[in-house]
This record gives sequence, C-alpha cells and structure tokens, in this order.
Amino acid sequence: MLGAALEILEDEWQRNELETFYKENKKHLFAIAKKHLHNDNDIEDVIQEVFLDIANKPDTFFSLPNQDKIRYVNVITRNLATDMFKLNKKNPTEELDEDIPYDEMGFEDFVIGNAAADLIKQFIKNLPTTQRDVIFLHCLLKLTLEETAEKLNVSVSAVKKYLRLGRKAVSDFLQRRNDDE
Amino acid sequence: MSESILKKIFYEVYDDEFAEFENAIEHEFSCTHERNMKKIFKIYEKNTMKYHKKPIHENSHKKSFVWSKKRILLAAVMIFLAVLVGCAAAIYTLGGFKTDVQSDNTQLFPIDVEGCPQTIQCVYELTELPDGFELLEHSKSAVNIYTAYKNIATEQTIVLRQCVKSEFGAHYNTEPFELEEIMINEHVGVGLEGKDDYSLAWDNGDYILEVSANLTKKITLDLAKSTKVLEK
Repeated sequence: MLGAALEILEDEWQRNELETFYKENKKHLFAIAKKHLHNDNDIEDVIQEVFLDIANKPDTFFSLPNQDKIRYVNVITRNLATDMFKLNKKNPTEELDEDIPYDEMGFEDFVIGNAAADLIKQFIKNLPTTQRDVIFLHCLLKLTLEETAEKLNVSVSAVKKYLRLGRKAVSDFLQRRNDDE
Repeated sequence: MSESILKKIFYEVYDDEFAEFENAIEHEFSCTHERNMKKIFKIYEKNTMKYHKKPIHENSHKKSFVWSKKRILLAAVMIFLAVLVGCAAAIYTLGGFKTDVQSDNTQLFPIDVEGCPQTIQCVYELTELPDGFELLEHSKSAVNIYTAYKNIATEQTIVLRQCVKSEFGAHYNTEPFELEEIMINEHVGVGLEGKDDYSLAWDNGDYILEVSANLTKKITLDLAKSTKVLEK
C-alpha cells in the first residue's frame, strides 16, 4: 500500500520535462510556424513532428544546455514549416547531391579575424538560412553531419557543401574587409 | 576575435530572429493536437527512462535526499492514520487509477490530471451500438456527459459516461466483486464484472470514460473500444 502510494508521488516528481518545455513554448512555436504556414492544421502537424522527432531520439535534445534547447527547437520548427510550405507549393527543398570531399570542420573555422562585432553579426544574418543553420547545428550545437542533415531535411553531402560555402563566405568577407582597409 | 565572442554573436543572431515571436498571441490548439502531444510525451517518457534511472543530473543527490525525507514523513503520516482509523481503507493503483478501497466499495481517482481539459471540449460516442438499442437519455454539463441507450425488446441498457478528470471520483461496488485491469485499445483501465452486467472505466489521457451495460464482458469491451470523438 505504502509502496504504491509512494510510486504515484514519484511519478509526479519525475514529471515529463518535454511536456513542460512544450507548455512553456508552444505559443511562440506556433507563431514561428505561422509565419510560413497559414493553415492551423499544418502548423499543428509541424509542431507534432518536431516533438515526435525529439521523443523518438531524445539524446540530442537531452544533451543540450537549457538555453540551446529552445534555440534548437526554434530552428527545427522554422525549417519544418518552410519545408511544408515548399511542399504545399510543390517546390521541393533544394538538394545538393554531389559527393563533396569533406575535411572535419569546427567552429574555429568560422572565426573571423578582428572584425567589429556588429559587422560580423550583419554578415552572419546575411548568410543564406540553411547555410547558417548548418553551421549552427553542426558547429555550435555539435550535432553530427548525419543529424544535421536529418534535422534540416537535406542530404549529408549538402551539409558538407553548406559548410564549405560557409567557410568560403568567411574568407570572402575577410578579403573584402582587407580590400576596404 | 575569439571563438567565444563569435559564438555569442551567433547566438544573438538566432535570439534576434526569434525574439519577435516571444509575445505571440495565445492560440487555442485543437483537442486532437493536444491528444497527439500527450502520446508523444508518453513516447518521450519511455525513451528517457534511462536518464531518470542514472544519476546524471547535477542535483540528483539533492533530490534523492529531499525525497528520502519526504518518504519518511509520508510513511510516518500513513502509519499514524492507519492506526487511527483502524486500517479501514487501503490505497493502491490499478488500471491507471488510484483506488481507495473501502469495506463495501472502491472509489477510483485519476492519477494525473495536470494539463487535462477542465471542461468538456470533445464529445465521445459509441460508434458500434448493437442492433435494437435506441437513445433513452442524454444529459450534458460543463464537466460530464451521460448517455443511456435501451433495447426495448430485451430491456437491456448501455450507459456511456464521460467526465473531466479533475471531477472524477466514481464509487464501484466491490463488496461481492473484484476490479480487474483491462486494456481498452491502447489505454489501460479497470473492469468490474457484476451479477449480470459489466462496467469499464479508463483514462484516455483527456477524460475518464465509463461504459456499463447488462451485456457480456466481450460485447461491453467491444463497445468501449468503439468510442470515438463525435464533435469538438
């Protein structure tokens, strides 16, 4: 009797953190998806898909610090919503299937000299969204190439290509700054 | 520029991008969506059991310590109460319910009511009613719905009740009979075989549903399995 009563309390103590996370953020996740989709059912589908993915493979989500959890879910939600929008418009996601030779890249590959912070911020903002997301998920949140590809619904070779393009964009940015100076 | 500063800027770019959604207006999600989300949370709970079992969280020792104190306190209170009332009641869980066993009946309570609708938002109905049954009575309040069907020829009745979880606390006559755990589709529930009737109650995540009928256990169970959302 006592054991069963304690079990109930223990269940309450081990409250589902994903549910809490959902309750705290569902309003703004809805708004993120609504920016790209106008059908409430589609938006709800996107949110379900995001959370189902987390539920099925919780390791990535679980390993992130709290602040990164919301950034990660924001990016995935936005990306899924744009994918669904493209699908509705019969305009499939861009695929880059060519096999790209890839040498391991870390975030240090994107460190940009001594440029002023506001210039860099502008530079990062101006990067194409998928390219920026690839750097964010792979280099900052430490997702593997495969995980990054899966979350962004692109191929692994596309992820490699986006990383290479990102690095090229950095060197072009530095070159332009040197020329300006 | 150091890597940490660049990381900070990168985070700022993302925080700026999503800042406009922070004060988004409240949206009322559909009942179906919330039900699906609950299923997703169950999957997550199941898949993260390993994390709960391992002491990987920084404050897990602290929580265990607090919990130990709670256990001791709770045990002391329960022993005291048991002595005081002469062990008149026993509490245990069965079929997804907390059960309070009295000398001649058992009261059922839902285990988890958090996040569940506080009023009726979806109406459930029996979709596979046997031939010959007609609607006898239907009443609806903000927190429960009662629907009874009767077969005039055989005098048999079927009753479907739907109740918001926070208001549920039904008593079942268990003096001569015993509650059993039973599956109703993917939900665990309780069944009670009476003299010539059968009753079922289960928690479907949002509401407590009850079906009772003076029919066989199999037919009553099939009826329960046929409950579906009629309207939102």
